[in-house]
Amino acid sequence: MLSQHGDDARLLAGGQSLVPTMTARLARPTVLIDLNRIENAALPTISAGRLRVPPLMRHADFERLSANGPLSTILAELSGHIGHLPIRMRGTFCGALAHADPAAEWCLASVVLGAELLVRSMTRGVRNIEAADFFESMMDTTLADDEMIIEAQIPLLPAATRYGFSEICRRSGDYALASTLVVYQRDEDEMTKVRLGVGGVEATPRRIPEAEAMLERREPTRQLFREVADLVASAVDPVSDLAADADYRRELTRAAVSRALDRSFR
Amino acid sequence: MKHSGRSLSRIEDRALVTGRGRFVADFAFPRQLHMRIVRSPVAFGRLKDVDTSSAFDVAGVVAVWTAADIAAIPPIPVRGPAPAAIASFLQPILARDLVRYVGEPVAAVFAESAAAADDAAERVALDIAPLEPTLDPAGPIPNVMDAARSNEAATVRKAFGDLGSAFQSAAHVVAIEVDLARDGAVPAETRSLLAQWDPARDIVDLWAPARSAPHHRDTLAAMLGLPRAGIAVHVPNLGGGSGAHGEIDPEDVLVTHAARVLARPVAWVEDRREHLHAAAQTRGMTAKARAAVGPDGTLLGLDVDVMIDAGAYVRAEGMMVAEFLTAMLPGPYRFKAFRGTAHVRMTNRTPAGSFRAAGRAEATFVRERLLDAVTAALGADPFEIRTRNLLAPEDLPHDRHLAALGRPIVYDSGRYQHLVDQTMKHFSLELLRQRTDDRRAKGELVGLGCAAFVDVAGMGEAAHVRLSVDRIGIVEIVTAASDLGEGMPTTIAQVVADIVGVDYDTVRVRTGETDRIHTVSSPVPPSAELVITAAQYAAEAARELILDAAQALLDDTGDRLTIQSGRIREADRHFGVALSLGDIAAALEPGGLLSDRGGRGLVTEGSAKADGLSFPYGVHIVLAEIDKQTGMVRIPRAFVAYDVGNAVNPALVESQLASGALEGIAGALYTALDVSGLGDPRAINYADYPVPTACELPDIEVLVSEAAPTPLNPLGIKGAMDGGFTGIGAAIASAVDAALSAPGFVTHLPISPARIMAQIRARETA
Repeated sequence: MLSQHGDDARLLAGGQSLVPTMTARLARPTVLIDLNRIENAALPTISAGRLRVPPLMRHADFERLSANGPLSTILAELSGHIGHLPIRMRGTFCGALAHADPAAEWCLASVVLGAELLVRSMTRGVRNIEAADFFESMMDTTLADDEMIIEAQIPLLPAATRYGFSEICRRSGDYALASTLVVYQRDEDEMTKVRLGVGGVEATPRRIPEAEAMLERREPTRQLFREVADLVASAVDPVSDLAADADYRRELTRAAVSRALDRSFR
Repeated sequence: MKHSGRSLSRIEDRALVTGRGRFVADFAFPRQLHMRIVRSPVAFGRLKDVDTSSAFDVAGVVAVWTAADIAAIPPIPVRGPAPAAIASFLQPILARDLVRYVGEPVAAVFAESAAAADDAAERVALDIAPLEPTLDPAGPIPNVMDAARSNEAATVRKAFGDLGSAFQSAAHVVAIEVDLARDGAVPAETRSLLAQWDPARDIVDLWAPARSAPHHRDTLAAMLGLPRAGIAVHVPNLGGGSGAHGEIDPEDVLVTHAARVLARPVAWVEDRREHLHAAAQTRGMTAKARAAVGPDGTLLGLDVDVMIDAGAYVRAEGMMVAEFLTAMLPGPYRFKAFRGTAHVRMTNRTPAGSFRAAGRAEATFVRERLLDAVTAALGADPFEIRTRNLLAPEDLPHDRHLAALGRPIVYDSGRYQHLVDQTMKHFSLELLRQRTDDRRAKGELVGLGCAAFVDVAGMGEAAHVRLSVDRIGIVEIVTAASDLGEGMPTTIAQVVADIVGVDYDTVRVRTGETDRIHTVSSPVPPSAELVITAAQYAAEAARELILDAAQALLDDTGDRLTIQSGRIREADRHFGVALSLGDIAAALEPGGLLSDRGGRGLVTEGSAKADGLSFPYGVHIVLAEIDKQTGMVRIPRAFVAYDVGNAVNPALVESQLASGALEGIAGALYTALDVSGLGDPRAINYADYPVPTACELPDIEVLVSEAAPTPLNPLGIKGAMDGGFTGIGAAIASAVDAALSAPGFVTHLPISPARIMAQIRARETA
């Protein structure tokens, strides 16, 4: 149907972004394709060391992932930050990626955790995209009009993983004005395989390689964390909007990075 | 069982908490039409043409009106006193030659469904030549494009004493400039209306969230050339109010008129986006204030000049905000001289209305900010400066020699210092002060702030209540006054139950019905205390009637009879009796044993007229904590102490005060209705208009004081609706200053965390 109707059609999964946009008459699709009756599209599976997230897996489903392990813990914590309970009961992981709000928790997580997206079109078949290459700009992705995300695959994390997450909002449940997810392995006294990304700050979430390099093979200390927070704050190019101008967002980025790092060390 | 003075649960909550409350949008009639308003997309422009032809391409469109279709309807009048020259500032129902704000109604579409009305409204083509909008109320240049009227609709001036000599003799003169962003009540229920014309009775029934149903009826009747009996207004449950709905707005007139002209029921439910830019807003103002102070910190003179952003038109509230803002500037303090001037300025913004603590919250913010500046200038203690200048008990009653809307400002009763002392003691605030100072000494950004204020209550002029008892002994109270959700029905039931001798939860209270009771309207809705007083009189008359009738029926000449739980018995006997209220009612009805006593049944009336305004007063104290990394402010504790003279139901008073304080915190830290440089509204939904949630807000700690009953009604009650709000913004400003150790830092509400962050950084660099 997507290939038939092109950009006149929109996919409806949880509807938590699309429906309000339609209510405000900002989106006016002539065709809505309801995915909700697709069978076996709600439960995740694990294979080849990856968590495979199907198109109808809801945010709330991450609160009670059956698989234990650091990845489940991280995703469970992040899911609790998404909107409010009714939103979490309906909205989907893949839908959030397709919507590509720069402040969305799942967009940040997929970039930092190195998720791979399986995207399918009727005519061209399936292609795989790294999450880091998926987001093009604010609310915009490389997804073509006739393509749908059929699965997101997130690599599992080893048991020695440590992580920290922080998001800064005015109100509980708001989109983050700045957020940070940091993940690393604790190897003796050192941090290795450090991945650190920020969301809600620039037009798309992204990892900050300078910060990762600064943390790699170093011993975690508060002093180092402060320096990294300062580094990230000066490395980003924050957007300005009504909720926070660029200068203030830079401050909030510093706060988010610093708190995420502190939490990784608890 | 005595009911008054007890925190009994609300009788109206049975329906509300089980989801069975009925709001205007819950009502519907067969064949009803849906109205959609076509609104101006620009802040200011010449309206050259409105082309409605394409709207009729949408199936189900019945009518599309522009100004020409309703040319005979006059603009919305002001209720209450206003200068004659106000006529050129009133709002036409639909814009004619100029559009003056984003959201101004230009056309009305009526269609078979809400969706068809929305679709058709989009096809109404507006040809508007944009003009340069005026957005700053303090802007000096009159708008040459809007030659029909001045930039200043009115100037309100209040004064007492010799200001010149007060400032000449001052040891210190302290001056500040402060301003408030525009905000609004933004209730959970948006505005909604439903009108149906019954040709057989020739009555338009209007379901509306009217604040004063009789006034709504009379104003609409006058505007539409109908007899008063041709409109019946019904006010069902309200989903919050606080001033955002309940006035005559263009939509009220359109819906009522359309129901007759189109001979179909007409419904209108405002959407949130519409509400945030088209419903009445308020608070926007800038003020210059200065105080003359003696060497020991004694206040001598107060001089304040305020520019009020009244928006594009003067709406029904008229001069109310300007009048109460200026009149209440002196607050609870002694001054030798005072001058307050309010310029009611026109801008290309949504017309201003009113909101909880209208005018008084603004006055309190200006005055208490000024007192904090005096404190800083003298290096004094903020509590000590206030205490030194409070009016003493022997000063009360205190004639300010001022009037607001023509009504004298005479503080009826008050023990201000007593309330301050009680507050400090009740909440152990000395200890909290010490702890806060200790935390600040350790580098935390925490501070306490306070504000003292006098509020105004009892604004309505008259209230009328009818009490009747049926043959099974059920007491019904009918009033045209609206239940605004503050618990008035329960309070009335408590007072009536004690007097008539029944259980309060058997009393049925019907509110907001103009066709159940004839009530002449007054421009200001009656206050709850006035309605309670009228109910008290009706109940006293009923008690007398009941006992007289019982004596006659029992052939008992003594005065030993009493009424308990609806039964009449002899006071000194536990058994035996008696009569029920139903027996008495039946006896008084035609055909009953006592039908010769008028034959009207057991029916009484009560009327109360206001003898003046009453002046409740309060103290607000808040603790503010600032996050050093984000500049965000948290209010972990907030204290509201307020004197209401007599609390019929203390829990309801507490909840009023707490809800007001929460709204006040929202306005001080989160919410504003700002516009862009072109006058476009910035907040169009609840993401842009961030109402704080339970996660961000503290439990409000409330002290309800009953130290100063008003002499103006027999129960001594003063209204409690606004008192939680009035001083909270000022107290938060004061606390944030204290937390930052930066006196005078807060000059604007809401307080911007980005500005706080910049201040923290500047301090680090310095």
